[in-house]
Amino acid sequence: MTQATTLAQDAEQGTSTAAKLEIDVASPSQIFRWKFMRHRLAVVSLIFLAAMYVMATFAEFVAPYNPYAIESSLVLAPPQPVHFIDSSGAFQARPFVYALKKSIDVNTGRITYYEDVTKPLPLGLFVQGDPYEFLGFIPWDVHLFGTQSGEVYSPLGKDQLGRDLFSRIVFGGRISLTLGFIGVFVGFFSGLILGGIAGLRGGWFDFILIRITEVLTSIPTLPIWLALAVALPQDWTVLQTYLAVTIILALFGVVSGASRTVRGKFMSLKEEGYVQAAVLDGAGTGRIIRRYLFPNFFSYQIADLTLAIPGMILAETALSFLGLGLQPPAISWGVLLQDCRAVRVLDTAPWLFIPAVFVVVVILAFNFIGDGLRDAADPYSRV
Amino acid sequence: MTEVSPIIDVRNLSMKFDRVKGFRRSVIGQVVAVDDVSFTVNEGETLALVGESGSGKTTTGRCLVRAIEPSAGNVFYRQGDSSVDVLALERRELNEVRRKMRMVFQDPFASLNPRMTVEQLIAEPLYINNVVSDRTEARAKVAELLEMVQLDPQLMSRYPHTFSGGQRQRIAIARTLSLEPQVVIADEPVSALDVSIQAQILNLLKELQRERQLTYLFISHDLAVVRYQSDRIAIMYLGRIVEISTRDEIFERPLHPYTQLLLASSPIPDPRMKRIRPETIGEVPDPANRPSGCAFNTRCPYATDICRSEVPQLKESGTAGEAHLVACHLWEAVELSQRPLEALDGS
Amino acid sequence: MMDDLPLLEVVDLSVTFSSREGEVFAVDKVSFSLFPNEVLGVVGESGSGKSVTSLSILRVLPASSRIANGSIFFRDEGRTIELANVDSESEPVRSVRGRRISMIFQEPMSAFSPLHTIGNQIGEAIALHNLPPGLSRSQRKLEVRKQTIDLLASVGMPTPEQLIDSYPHELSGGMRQRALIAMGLACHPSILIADEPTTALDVTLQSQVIALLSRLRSEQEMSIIFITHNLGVIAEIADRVLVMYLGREMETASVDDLFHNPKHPYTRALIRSMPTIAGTLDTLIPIEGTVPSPNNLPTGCRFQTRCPERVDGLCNVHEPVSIEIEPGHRVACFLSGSPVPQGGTND
Repeated sequence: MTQATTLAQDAEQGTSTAAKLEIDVASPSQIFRWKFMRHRLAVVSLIFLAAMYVMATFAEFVAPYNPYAIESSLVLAPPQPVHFIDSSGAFQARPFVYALKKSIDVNTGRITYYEDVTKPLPLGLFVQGDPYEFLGFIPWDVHLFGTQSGEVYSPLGKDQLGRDLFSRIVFGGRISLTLGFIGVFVGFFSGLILGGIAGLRGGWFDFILIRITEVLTSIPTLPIWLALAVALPQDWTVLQTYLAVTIILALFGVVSGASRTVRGKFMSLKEEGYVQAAVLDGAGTGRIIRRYLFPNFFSYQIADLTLAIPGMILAETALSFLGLGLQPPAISWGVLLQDCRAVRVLDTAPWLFIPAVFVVVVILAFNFIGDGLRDAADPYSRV
Repeated sequence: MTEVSPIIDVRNLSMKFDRVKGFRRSVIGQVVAVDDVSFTVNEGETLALVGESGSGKTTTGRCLVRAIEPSAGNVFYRQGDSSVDVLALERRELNEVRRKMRMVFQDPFASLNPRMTVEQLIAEPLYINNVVSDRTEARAKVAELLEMVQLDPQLMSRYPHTFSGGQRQRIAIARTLSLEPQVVIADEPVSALDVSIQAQILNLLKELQRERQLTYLFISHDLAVVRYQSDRIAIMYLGRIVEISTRDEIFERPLHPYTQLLLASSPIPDPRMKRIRPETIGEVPDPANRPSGCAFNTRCPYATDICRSEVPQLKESGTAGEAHLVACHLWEAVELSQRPLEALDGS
Repeated sequence: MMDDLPLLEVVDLSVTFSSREGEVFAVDKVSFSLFPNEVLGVVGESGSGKSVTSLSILRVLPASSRIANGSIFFRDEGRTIELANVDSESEPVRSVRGRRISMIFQEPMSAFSPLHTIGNQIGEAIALHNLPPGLSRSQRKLEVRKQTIDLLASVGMPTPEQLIDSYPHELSGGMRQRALIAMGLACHPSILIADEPTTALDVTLQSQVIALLSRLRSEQEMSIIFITHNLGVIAEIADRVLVMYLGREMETASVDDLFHNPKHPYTRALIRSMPTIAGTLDTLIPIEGTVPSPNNLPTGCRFQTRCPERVDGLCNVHEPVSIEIEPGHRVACFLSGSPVPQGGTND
C-alpha cells in the first residue's frame, strides 16, 4: 500500500547513517552551536574573551598590586622579563625575575634601570600582597602571582607615577570591557522596542522614528562629544560619568542602528508565510511576536550585536584618550593611553602603549566571534 | 444531482490599492488586483481559480479569509442553515470562520516556522483554538494527523529543515486540517514541488477530500493540474473572471478567446501532439495600467471596437445543460472559429 | 542526422562538489552527444545534475566544484577542441565560451546590468566578436547598432529601434526574455544552452519562447541544449532527450521513443505521474518516496529506492551502466539489459 511504502522509505533514508540522523533531529539552536564551533578562530576568541572577563571580574585577585599604589622609587621602570636560567647557567624549575637596580646619569638626570643578576626573585602563585576585599566584601591579601619574597615585580613595567601597569590594565578592563556590553544592551533593547513598534505598527510612528534616526546618524559625532564633555558636570563621580558616557554612546550608535535593523527585520518577517499562517490560525499579536518573530530574528541580531561592541570599546578609548570621556582617577584602557599623549613616552617608556595592544586584541576577538555567529546564523551555509 | 446550495457565495468582490510614490506618498495610480468578482463554491466540490500572473487569483483566495482585506464585496459563508458575511465579521467571529476555512500555501519552505518542531507546528492551531488542553492530548492528535498525511509520527520531534519539499507540504496540510475545516483554500500547493512529488500531493489532497467531505478552492496557473483536481473551473484575467463552468465544458468547449489561448499554450507531454505555436501573442499588461473595455482586447485576435470600449459582463451562454458563464462580447463567433484541443489531434 | 559527426561529445563526465562529508558527485559518468541543428532536451528533478552538466561544458562551475573525470569534445570549423581537461580560463575555453557556445538562464533580470541599456549590453558582444575589420570608429558604432537592431527584430521584438535604448527594468518580462535570447545569439553561436528558460514565465509566454527558439534553431542552424524539469515543454521542443536522476544518465532517446516507448522505469514513472491537458483522465500514479540527498546516495541503482520494478539483490547491489538497446536509445537499467557484473547476484 502507498502509505506503507512511504513510511518505510522515509525510515530507511533517515536512519541510514548515524551522523545523518543526528543532524536530522537537531534543533536549529543545536545546529547554530555546531556551526559556530566549526569556526576555530571564533571559538578561540570566545575562550580568550571569557578569560578577559574573568580577569576583570576578579581584578583585585589577578592584579598583583593596588592600581593606585605609587612606588616612587620605580617611576617608569621597564617590564621585568621572566627567567628560567640563572646567572650560573643552571636551569631553574621555578621561574624567577631579577630585582631592578637603577642608575642616574648625573648630567642628564635620566634614570636607567637594569637587572640585578645577584638578586633573583623566585615567582610564585597565590602569594601574599596588598590587602583588598575579594568580590568587594571579603578581606583578603592573596594575589594570583608575585614574588615569593614580596619584592616588587612588574610584569609590564611601571607608569610615570610608579604604578604597576599590569594591575592598571586589569582594572581598566573592568570599565573598558563592560562599557561595550552595557552600551550595546541598553542601545539594543531601546532599539528593539522602538524598532519593534515601528516595524509592526508602521504608520506615523515608523515615519517619525526613521526620520529621527536619520538625523541622529547624520550628526558629526566628534563635536557632539566635545559639547557633551563640557556639559557633563565636573563634580560627577566616576560612576556617573561612566554611565553618562555609555548612554550617550549607545544613543548615537546603537539605538539608531538597532531600531532600523529591528524594524526592517520585523517588516520582512511579518510578510513570511509562516507568520501569515499563524495569523490565520487565530494567533494574537503577543503570541506572534513571542513564537514567530523573536526566535527567527535573534540569531541574526546576536551577530550584529557582537560586532557593535568593538565600536563602543573603540569609542570609549578614543574619547578617554582625548580627555573627553573618563578622567583619572577612573581607570580604563583609554585613560591609560592618555599617558601616551606625550611624545617623550615613545622614547623612554614604550611599554605604556601596551593597553593599546589589549584594545586591539579584544576588538579582533569580538570581530571573530561576530563572524562566527553570523556564519552560524546563515541559513544557507551547510552543517 | 439535485440543487446544491453553495457553501461559499462571493459577490462583487474587489480589491484595489493605491500605488504611491516618494516621500509624500502621493498616489500615482490605482492597481485593481480583483475587480468585481462573483462566484459560488458548492459543498464538497473543487472549484479551481486559474490564471497567469496578475490575474488576481491568489488575491481572491486570500480575500476570502481576509488574509488581505478586500475593498468591496461580500463573502457569504454558510454553516448549516445560517450564513454569515465574512467581510463584515468582528475579529472573534472571524477567527471562528477561519477555523473552518483554512489555507494551504504555495511554498512549503516559507509557510512553516523553521524554529518549531513538527509537533509544535501541527499542534499550534490546536492550542491557539483550545482544541487540546495538554501535551499528551496534543501529541496523540499530531500523530493521528501525521498518519493521515502518510508521514511517520516518529518524525514529529524533528524540525522542518530536515524534510523534503513534498514532506513539508504534507506537514502543512496536516496543520491545515488539524482544526477540521470545511473549506480548504489551496494556493498553488504543488507548483514549488518536483515533478515526481506533485502527483503524490495531488492524490493526497483528493483522498482527503473524499474522506473528510472537504470543499476546495484550488488556485493554480497550471491547467493540466487543474484538470485532474477540479469539478468546476473559473478562468481569471487581470482581476476578472472571464469564464466559469464545469471542467469538461472548459476543456471541451472553451468559449472565451483567453481560455482558448491558455489551452493552446499549455504544453502537452506528447511529441505527436505538437501544435503550431504563434510566436507573438503578447503578454499580460501591467495590472496598474489595464486596457479599457475588455482587458484581453490587446491580445485578442478577434477584438473589435466594442471590446475596446465596453467591459463585457459574465453571462450565461446557454450552450449546454450545465451552467457555462463567459464574459466576451463575441463568444458566439469565436466558438465557431477555434477549438484548440480538437485541432491538435489532427495528425 | 546520424551520419553527421556530433557537434559536441560529452564522455564519462563527472563533476564533484566538496562538502564537509567529502566529495559529492553532482554528475556521475554522464555521456551524451549533440548533433548539428538538433535540440537536445535534458530533463531532471532538483539534484539531477542537469544544470551542473551544462555549466561544466562552458567551464563556469562554482568554486566549490570541479570536473573530476571525463572529456568534452567540441567540433567547430573543422577542428576539435577538448574543453574538460584544460584550465577553465585557457585560450580554447575562452574562444568557445560566449562565442561558439552561449548560455541563457532562467532569470532574465539578473543576466542584465541594470545600469546599461539592453542595446549597449548586446552591442558589446557584437563589437567584441562580430565586426568586419577595417572600420572607422563611427562606422563601427553604426554597424553595431544596425546589427543589434536586426538581432532584436529576429527575436520578435515589435519595435527594436525604440527598445534598443531602454533599460532592463523598463521591459516587460517577455521582452526581457527575448532580449536575453538576443544576447545569447549575438555571436552566432553553434550551440545555445538554455537552462530552464521558460520556468519563470507564464504559460502564454512560455509558449512564445518555445516557438521563438524553434524558429531560431532552424533559421540560424544552431543546436540547442534545452534544460528543464517540464516534460511537456520537452515534448514540444526537443528532438532527443536525456533523462537524468541524481547525477546519472537514466535514459537517452529520440523524443518520440521517450514518450511512446520509454524503457527506464524512472522515465515511465515520470510520464505516468504527470498531469496533462489532453488524453484520458486516468488517476495520476505518483512516484513514491522522495529524491534521496546527494550526500546519502542509495546503493546500487540511484532510482532503486523509489522504483516500482526493482529487483532485490540486483538493483540495490549493483549500479547499472548505460547501454544502447536500439540505435540512438540508451538505457541504464538491468531490466533493459544493462550487464550484470560477474558474481554479482545473490542467486
